[in-house]
Amino acid sequence: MTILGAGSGAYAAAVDLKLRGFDVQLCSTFEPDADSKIKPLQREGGIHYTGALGEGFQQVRATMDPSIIRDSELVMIITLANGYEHYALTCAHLFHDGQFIFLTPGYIGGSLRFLKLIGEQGDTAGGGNGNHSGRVRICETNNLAYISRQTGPTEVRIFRKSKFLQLGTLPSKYAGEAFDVVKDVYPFLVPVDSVLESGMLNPNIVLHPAGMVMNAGWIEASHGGFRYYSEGCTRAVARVMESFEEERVAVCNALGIKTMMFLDYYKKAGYTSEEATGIYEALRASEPNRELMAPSSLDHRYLTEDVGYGLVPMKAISEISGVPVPTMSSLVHLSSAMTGINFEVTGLNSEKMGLHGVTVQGLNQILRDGFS
Amino acid sequence: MLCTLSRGVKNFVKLKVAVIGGGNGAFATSADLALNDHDVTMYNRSPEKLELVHRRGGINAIVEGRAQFASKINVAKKIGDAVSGAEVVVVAVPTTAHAYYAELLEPWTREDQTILLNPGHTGGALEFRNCIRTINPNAKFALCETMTLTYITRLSDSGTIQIFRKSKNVLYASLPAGRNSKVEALFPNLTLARNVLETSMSNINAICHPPGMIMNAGWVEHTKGSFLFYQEGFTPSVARVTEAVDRERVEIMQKMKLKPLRFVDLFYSIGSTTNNEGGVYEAMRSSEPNKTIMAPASLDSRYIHEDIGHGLVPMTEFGKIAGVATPIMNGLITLASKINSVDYWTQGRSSKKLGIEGMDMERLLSFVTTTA
Repeated sequence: MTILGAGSGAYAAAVDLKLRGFDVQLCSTFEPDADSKIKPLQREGGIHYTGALGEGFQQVRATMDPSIIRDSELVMIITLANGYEHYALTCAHLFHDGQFIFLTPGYIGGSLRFLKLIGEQGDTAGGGNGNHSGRVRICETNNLAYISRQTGPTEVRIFRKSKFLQLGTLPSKYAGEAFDVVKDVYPFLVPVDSVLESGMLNPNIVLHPAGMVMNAGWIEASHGGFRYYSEGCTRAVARVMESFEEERVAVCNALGIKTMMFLDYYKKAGYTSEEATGIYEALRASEPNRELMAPSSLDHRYLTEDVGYGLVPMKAISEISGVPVPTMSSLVHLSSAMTGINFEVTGLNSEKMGLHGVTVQGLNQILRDGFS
Repeated sequence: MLCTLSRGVKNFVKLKVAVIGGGNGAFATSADLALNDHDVTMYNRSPEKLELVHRRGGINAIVEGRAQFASKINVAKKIGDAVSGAEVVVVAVPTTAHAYYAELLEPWTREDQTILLNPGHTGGALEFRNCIRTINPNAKFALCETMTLTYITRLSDSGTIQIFRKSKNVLYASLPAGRNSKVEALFPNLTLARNVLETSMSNINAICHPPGMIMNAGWVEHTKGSFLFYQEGFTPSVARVTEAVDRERVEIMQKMKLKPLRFVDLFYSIGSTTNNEGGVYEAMRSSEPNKTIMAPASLDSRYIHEDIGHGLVPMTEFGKIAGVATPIMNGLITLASKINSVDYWTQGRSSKKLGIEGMDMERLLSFVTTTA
């Protein structure tokens, strides 16, 4: 099994899977990772870990050479949202028939973007086995299985491991096969009807843009000198999150996508107390999130990822549904205005997901069969 | 009216003035006018706010550093006693109270009496006129408004009014358009604006307070406003959003055939900053009169109720008439509505309350110029 990626999520997964006896290799093709991550890992021979999975050291092989993908039945990609594009572009020629690409998390629209890019590579790649998009199965989870932070070039602290994750597959007609391959990796995976069902339940989209927009001044003035969840997510911030949640659920209902409430997901994943009655209470009672500090600036994945690859694709999907989403739109526009980044252009918009001008029926067909 | 020499002012005209209100604006106005030898009577719906003035027979004031006692200020128990003999009625209340006072004043309106809204902020005169004419379509009165309060001022707990700055170049306008010599006699530093659209759209509070509050909502709520609103709260991202609001405002004003000043230039022209060479961030850093002002202690604040509900909302109504898209203003209004569980779109100063429902730009312009 190959893990593509070298961030804290990839480290946490490598440790977790090795502890459970899987044969795992870590690989990155990002140039900067060579000196900051891969070479230190090669010198050290593995990863030091602390936290919820205990304390210790796991031997993990690491490389900058992606040709190891060829020998893996399952390729896990654990990166920031825009990392998928990089791997789709650089590794498309290495994927083979019957192989499963496992995006964890998929963010929303990650699989669609990946499939679209692979298909484009196939058409222009020249050599290789023809149309790549026809033979690739992509599955994704609605969240990363870990709350973790990298504490050094070869160190990770794992605050919490999830107890619940959804698995969507693209094309969804291969959902059964995909589940059979990945279920041992995360036994708590629950298969769902499509990658949109899992994508629409990405909790970071609920939690991060609202908290960033409504604490932007505090973040910049104090360089992140407050606890993001336990101090920054006040009642008013939680009210905006609840309003966002209502819009998200309305969009799912309009598109016939099953969903669960964010609150129920958060409880099921073990991130908060069963007694929490709303988002505010859930965040206050969230032990793994209690001490997490706010970002020290607005140049952070809580915006670049969760707006560009979260709110933007979600808003694009909402437009297909026809449901008005004023809270979602407000957060997108304010995030763009406050950073000077036009997220609807730089982020994962309709066009990049291959959904431009698509109707509800068209959307459902793509989710089931892929792009024709 | 007596023409005398008073305090060395040639052709001084002593006016009988009623000042309505019990807060910062009313105290500052009353003290200032009384110190300039006008005949001032105050009235407020909550009489306890004026109890000290009644007992002392005047107001302790510190005007631009100089301590003085403004004497011979009367307090009326009934509104009729304040306004029936007055040549000018200065309504110095939060703009959210305009509708209430319009109804209260309607029976007393006279053709030879001027009502001045200090401030009118956005749409004050339009709503005021609409309220009075709805009750009595034949009511005749002169009506003016200022774009912002003519003072930078705070009332202390002990009832002393501190006037940090008597603002210069504050715009005023009449509805319908024209000069008003009595208003100019009371407030010599005023500059005549073309019409009430110009004053309404020059409401600087509506441009800067909403971003300052929404983007520091967590900070306000968690610390109960323990930070310097202008000095600390206006970080680069908050300044950027203020500038984005300002761009929407400027575009609307251009469609109104007005020559708009940027927010920074308006702020500079009234003496609130010494730096108009940069953007909002630099202007706020150099804002001496606002240096020590703390953030509101909660989000239940006029910086939201007034500056969004009766500030941005009417601006977006003008925007609709002008055919200008206002996504940033809309975003701030939507989030404010969720924060305070109030639908500011309908509870705020809508086009219905302004009395401009169904108007196009041509009709609106002629309304504020001649036909109101």
